[in-house]
Amino acid sequence: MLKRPRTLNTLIALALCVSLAACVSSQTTSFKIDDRDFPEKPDSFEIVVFEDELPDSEFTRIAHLNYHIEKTFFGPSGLKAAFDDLKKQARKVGADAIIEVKKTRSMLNETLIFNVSAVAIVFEE
Amino acid sequence: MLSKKLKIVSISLTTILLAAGATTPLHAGKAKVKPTSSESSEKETKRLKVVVEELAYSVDELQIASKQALVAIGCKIKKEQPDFIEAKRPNKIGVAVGSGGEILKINFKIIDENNTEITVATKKTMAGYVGQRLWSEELLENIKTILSEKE
Repeated sequence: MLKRPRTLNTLIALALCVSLAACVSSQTTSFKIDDRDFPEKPDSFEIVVFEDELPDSEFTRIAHLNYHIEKTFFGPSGLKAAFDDLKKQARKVGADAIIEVKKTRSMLNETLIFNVSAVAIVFEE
Repeated sequence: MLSKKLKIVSISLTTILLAAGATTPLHAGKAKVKPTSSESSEKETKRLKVVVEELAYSVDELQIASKQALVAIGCKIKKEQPDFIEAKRPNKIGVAVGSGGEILKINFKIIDENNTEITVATKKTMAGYVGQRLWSEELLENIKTILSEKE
């Protein structure tokens, strides 16, 4: 049986690893929808997530948050990372909680597109 | 024999990376998307798609919804003016074709206080052309969905 040279095998494996590692890209975006500036919250501040319902107390929407990931074949699902990232963005804009979480998933050729958006809010005193 | 095989592998890998848009040619950023005039509602070629529609929303409402819709499809907003948004989907490397590289432009024309004409244009660029999509129609639908959900 004809054996493939070791150098060639190594080269193919290396190319495959580089290619697959480069096939996941994520980006986060947030933009204000309220003119006021709110102080950034510390990392220890726990952002409450209202996935399916709205909070009982009065609130104001202050920013739109978005987490977008495009990946090919393998790679983490991205949902955990998405929520962690949304909470991080929420703290940065000075929010108390996030509401209206919306998840979408679509395909473009070989690429899986996964998007999570939410609205950052502050509770009115 | 070995060097011939290595040469073939090296050529194949270069081809895959170029197709995936791993490199961006200098002219990629200079691509222009010129929306059509307000009379036409749709214009489509292989590289460009423009859709125009009058919506019963103010320009401010449309601005916010447009930005939401753009980031949701992975765009990075490059320019932002009261009547104009320009965005680009960054190039991404894939196993075969990759994705991204499209340039999207949105124009707003105020009809009156509560009515605005919106023009959405997508243009494919050279880098990663195979993995690109004309997003105009889908983007306009997403904008309308976002606006209707807020009502």
